[in-house]
Amino acid sequence: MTVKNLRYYREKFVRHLPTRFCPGCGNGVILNAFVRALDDLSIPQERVLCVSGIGCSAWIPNPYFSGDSLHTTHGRALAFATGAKVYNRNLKTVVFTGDGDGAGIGGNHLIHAARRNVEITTILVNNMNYGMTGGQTAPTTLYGGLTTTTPYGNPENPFNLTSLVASAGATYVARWSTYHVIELTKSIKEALQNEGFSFIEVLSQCPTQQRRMFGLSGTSSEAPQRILEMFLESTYIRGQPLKNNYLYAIPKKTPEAVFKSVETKLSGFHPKLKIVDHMAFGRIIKINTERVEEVKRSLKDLDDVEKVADPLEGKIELGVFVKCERPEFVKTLHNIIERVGENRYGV
Amino acid sequence: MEFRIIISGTGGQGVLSAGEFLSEAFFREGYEVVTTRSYGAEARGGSARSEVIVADEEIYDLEIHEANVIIAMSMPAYRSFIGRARKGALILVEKQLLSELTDKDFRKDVYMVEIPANETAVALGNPIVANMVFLGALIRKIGLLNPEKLEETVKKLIRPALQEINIKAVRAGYSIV
Amino acid sequence: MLKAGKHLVLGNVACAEGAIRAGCRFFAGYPITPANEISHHMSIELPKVGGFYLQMEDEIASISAVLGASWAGAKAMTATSGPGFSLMQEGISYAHMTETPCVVVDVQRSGPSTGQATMPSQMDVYQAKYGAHGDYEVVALVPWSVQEMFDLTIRAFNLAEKFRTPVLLMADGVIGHIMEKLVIPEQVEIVDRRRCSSREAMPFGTDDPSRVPEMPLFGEGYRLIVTGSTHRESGFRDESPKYHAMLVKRIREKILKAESEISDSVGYYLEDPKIVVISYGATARPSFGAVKKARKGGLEAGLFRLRTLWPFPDREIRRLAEAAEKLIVVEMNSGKILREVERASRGCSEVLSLPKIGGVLHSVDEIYKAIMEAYQ
Repeated sequence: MTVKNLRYYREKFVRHLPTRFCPGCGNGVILNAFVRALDDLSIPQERVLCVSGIGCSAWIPNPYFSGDSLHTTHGRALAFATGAKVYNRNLKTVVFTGDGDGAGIGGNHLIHAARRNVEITTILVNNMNYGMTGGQTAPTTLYGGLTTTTPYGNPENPFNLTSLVASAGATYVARWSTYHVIELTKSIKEALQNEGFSFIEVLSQCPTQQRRMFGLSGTSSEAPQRILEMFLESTYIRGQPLKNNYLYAIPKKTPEAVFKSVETKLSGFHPKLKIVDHMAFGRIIKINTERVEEVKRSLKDLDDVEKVADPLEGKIELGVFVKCERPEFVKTLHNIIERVGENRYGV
Repeated sequence: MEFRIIISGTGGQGVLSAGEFLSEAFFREGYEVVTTRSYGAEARGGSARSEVIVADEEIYDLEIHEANVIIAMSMPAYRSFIGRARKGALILVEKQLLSELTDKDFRKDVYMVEIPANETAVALGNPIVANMVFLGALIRKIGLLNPEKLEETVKKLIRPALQEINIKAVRAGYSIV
Repeated sequence: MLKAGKHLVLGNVACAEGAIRAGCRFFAGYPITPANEISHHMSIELPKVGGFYLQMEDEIASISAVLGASWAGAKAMTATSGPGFSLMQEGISYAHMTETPCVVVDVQRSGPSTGQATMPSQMDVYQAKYGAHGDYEVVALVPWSVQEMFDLTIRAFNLAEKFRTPVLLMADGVIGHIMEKLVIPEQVEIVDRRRCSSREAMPFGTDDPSRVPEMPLFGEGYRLIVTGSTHRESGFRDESPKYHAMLVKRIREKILKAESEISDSVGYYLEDPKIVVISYGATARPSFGAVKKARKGGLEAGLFRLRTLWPFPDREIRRLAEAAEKLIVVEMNSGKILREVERASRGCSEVLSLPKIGGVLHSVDEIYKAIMEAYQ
């Protein structure tokens, strides 16, 4: 990947600045990764059609991407994109959608687009809530999560979107977070080159709504960074060697209140303790130590600690999950025309 | 001149194709034709119906509220449609059904003709052509078409292997009545 | 495709044949009775002419795919019936706002809800006009014969392309499902959308008196922004009162100002009418039979047949109301267009209703009887 300065990308690919995204929003990171992927692959932006639905993610291409963009109705971007792609297969078609847009109201279109294996790259921005409309619960909100419509905790379980789309038949499926910019950019490049339906879920920060969800009580200006660090803390990458030199202590009260007693209890092991944000457990104490099993035993009888969690517990897997080949929809339609066409004068 | 014809039977008896042959034959002869078929769930299993209106001038009544010809190929079809027969209507009914008809099934104000369509079709080698036996009988009775016209349509719409038996069935029906 | 000449075909097949002749090369739909034969015929014929047939996961996806294809350059259509038409309202509203040409066929069946799914009605006439959300003007055509299923489908495409607007073909289950004569001409008149003449052209604004902007397509290097949100002439989103008023005024006026061009109706025996039957679609057929019968009996009865439901021919109805003593509105619903006739006639004559529900069509005699009663 060649690195060019930010101004180059802005002038070439961005129609309008500043954006109307909230400060610290993940959308800018995703737009950035997208245009870098296009540039690296030398795809002329005149050939690119970005289609989006409703929600914050829909605004990434429309109006900010300087190329053709179609800003459609809620959840339907993939259906619109399918129509455009089928009629003009030269369009490099990319759908930007969110978790509410793509997996809630548009979930049916998502699985069917994957099943058809239509050559569309779908980037699903997952902020685990309906950000634009005021932080309501989404089909991706974690169990127990606090949102404006689940004030007592989310009673539902979230979708595992990559599994869903993989089993529906997509030929490229990946999940990254806005922390993993390099991997994300590389993945978008792979998706754009895949002759079939590509799906990339991006866990994204929404400082406006996620502070409530993840119990981030600090200032709003520190929220974006904390959420990004939380993404790092709460995920692991498929295929990468896993570290096993740490544990999490999930406190009964606030981690600050418990910190001292954990420190005292473990003083013999000389561990490094740190308070971290974790998507599954909230604010907890991370214990770095080489003597994992002993520390675990030692913490068992500490009243202040609700439970001790292993490194992988509650973590979300990132990586590329599917890379395969299946007949592509538009190509098949053209094959049918070749076979039965009497006089061809379509596109 | 206007005939309002209901062809009725059970799904699989060739009711819809009979309606199609008859309509096409009338149409080729230059008559105005409006044909309606029963559709959807109605057309699968259960009863099937084809309604053919043929006239020598434009047709305005698009639905058959009262028929002047009814072909009934099954008992349920007979019972469903006999009530829609106009006074003096021609009713062509499968002969094998007669023994099942009770007194209240009969109407005295219609002209009922029994057609041994099943028996004839079986004798020809395939019970499926009973519908064509009925059509042969029908055109003889109403006198709008000669059998050659219907045979032409059969040749146009049916694949070659089945043409001969269908044509034989039309001719047999024509000579029965 | 059927050859030019005379054929005995199903109304729905005539619609598909008309669409392909009008240049339709993209169809997306979802199975529903009584519109299925349009899909069947399109799925057979479109690939033969280099076109695309898609069966989508539902009606919302169908209309959405149609609109996406339209911006990629296709003349595109979908066909459905009542329940599917309800689902399509979201996309139809989007088509109005983004000025996307397309054709939506509703072969009306009897509702509410699943109702009499296999039986005909004319119950969606108001849904056509008011079904979608927001402010817009609808163009809706209504065929009374298999021939008009063909002719009006072609006209629907021509109007859609000319005015950059969705056009509705409000067929009914009677006309969709009868087989009768169709005469296919050697040539049909075809209108194509006005494409952009320069890079500076504004895709959502124009100085042209037609108020219809030129239409660029995706993939031509315009860096086009299309949005269902309120936008400026360039397409750039701007939800200010000024731009919203400007946009909505223009998309309504482009239809309203062309009303005399779009609106289409046919009068029969209207020279000296005492009783005028007003009808449309399948119900106009027995209405015509009844009026002819009344004329034979020496009654001064006439028929006014709408071939476009929307825009509604207010002026013509007013003129009829002034000339006639009584108007009888014959329709296969519980009395809908009746209200439009009452409104447009402004009390100038008595307006009677001859509704029909239950999935059956009026007979000639029923309508004739109503004319007789009105006459006394």
